[in-house]
Amino acid sequence: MTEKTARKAVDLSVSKENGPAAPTDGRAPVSTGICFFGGEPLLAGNLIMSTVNYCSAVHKKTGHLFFFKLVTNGTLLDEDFLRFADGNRIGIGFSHDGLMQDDSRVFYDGSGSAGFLDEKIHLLLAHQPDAIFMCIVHPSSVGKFADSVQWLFEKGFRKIYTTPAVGDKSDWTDQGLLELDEQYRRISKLYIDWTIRGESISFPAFDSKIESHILGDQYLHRTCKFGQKQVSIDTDGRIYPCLQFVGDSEYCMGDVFSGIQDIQKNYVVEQGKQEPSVCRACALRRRCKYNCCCRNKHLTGEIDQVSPFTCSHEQLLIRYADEAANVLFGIRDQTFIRKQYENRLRADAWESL
Amino acid sequence: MVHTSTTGKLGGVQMRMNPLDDYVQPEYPPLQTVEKKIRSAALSGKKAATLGMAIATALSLSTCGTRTETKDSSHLTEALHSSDNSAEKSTGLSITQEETSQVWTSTAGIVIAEETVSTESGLELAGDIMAPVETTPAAVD
Repeated sequence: MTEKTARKAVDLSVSKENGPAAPTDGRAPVSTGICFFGGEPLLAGNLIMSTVNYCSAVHKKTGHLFFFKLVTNGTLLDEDFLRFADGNRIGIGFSHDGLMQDDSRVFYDGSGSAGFLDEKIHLLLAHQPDAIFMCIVHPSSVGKFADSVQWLFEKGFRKIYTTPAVGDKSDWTDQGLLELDEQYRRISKLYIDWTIRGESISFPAFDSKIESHILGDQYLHRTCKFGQKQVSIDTDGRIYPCLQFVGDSEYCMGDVFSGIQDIQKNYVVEQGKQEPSVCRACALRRRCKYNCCCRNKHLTGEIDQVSPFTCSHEQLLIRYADEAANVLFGIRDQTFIRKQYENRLRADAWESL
Repeated sequence: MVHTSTTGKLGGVQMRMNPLDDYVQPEYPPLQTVEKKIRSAALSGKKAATLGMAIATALSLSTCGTRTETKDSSHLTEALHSSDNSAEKSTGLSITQEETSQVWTSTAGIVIAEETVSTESGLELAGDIMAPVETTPAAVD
């Protein structure tokens, strides 16, 4: 991506006319969240820094707020960039698979990367104790999943995002799912233990399922809203509704130079409203990601078809999240009550009054 | 209602249905239930000095946290308990988290791609970080 393209993307996000962040009532948007991703985005560290500096200049001029996130494999993290991140409040997501790292993430010569990254983990946590750890679970190493989550916790991470690998290289079998079931059962116990100890742990795989029950219908409004709440911009400036669709001309919504085109956007939005018919009567429908266009497209090739893996995995998450939440509510755990009810009631009630 | 699809095999996984026949509602209550109890208590004249205490009462807790009320929740406390103005100063939520949450839930984000992503892992993870509330690991999901 060129610097010009990046700046055009920033300009578009500020625009009240044809930008992705513009409110529908014609008001100018007040803030923009920017996430840098790759590949490995720190290969273009200078571009990131110049873009962030450009945003600062726009902020000084207009008052528009910017918030930043970056997803990195950590290999190029260094003191200089972390100082810059600290100064500009760039939240960092560290892609690392814990004890499964050397099974899935190796250097070009085939050697494991875990040892090399250990120092980077300490460096990151020293700067950002609330950094997000992003862990992918592959079928070949799923037996190390729960131990990896525990390892991450002991390393100091308190925001641990996990997701199963999907795609051509990840062939989940019934046996693999059984092992995944066992791993989630163990993680459920860890989740309970940590919560009882008063730890402020963020484990979205479970948190989101607990939230889906607690919020009920409100939860449905907290999805990405395909093509409406966020967009992905390719290196050439073309705009797509989601990372999964980058490069797919059918879903191109315009570009940063001419803005989002209404006809294309409307088409994308309508496509995103399609749902798998097989899920319509499911009891878990309101708690499930069955309608995630990205995941469906990736696993089935169609945005309105859900895969058996998604179905099975969602059931696992809901089952073990509920088991943990039932235990914690049953003992009226204060950390649980505070996190799931008190904090939400503050915000929700305040908004309604 | 149950998921009726029990057929199909994709990605090596057989659809493992139907577990939903015996789906049981969780024991922990929806937020709406808790809120109704608090409002009901407030309307009946039961006073609580803080939101935390109101929740504790609603959930039959002996105590519910030790934090003082935030500035934001003082409105709620006043509305619910109308009796006193005991809301205290903020000690609660992290400003960073609060602001980030607001941004990522209320505004559109721009993802600037350095490369066209080719790995499934990157897709979902980036999505996650983009939509932390849904935490939707999901690209958004």
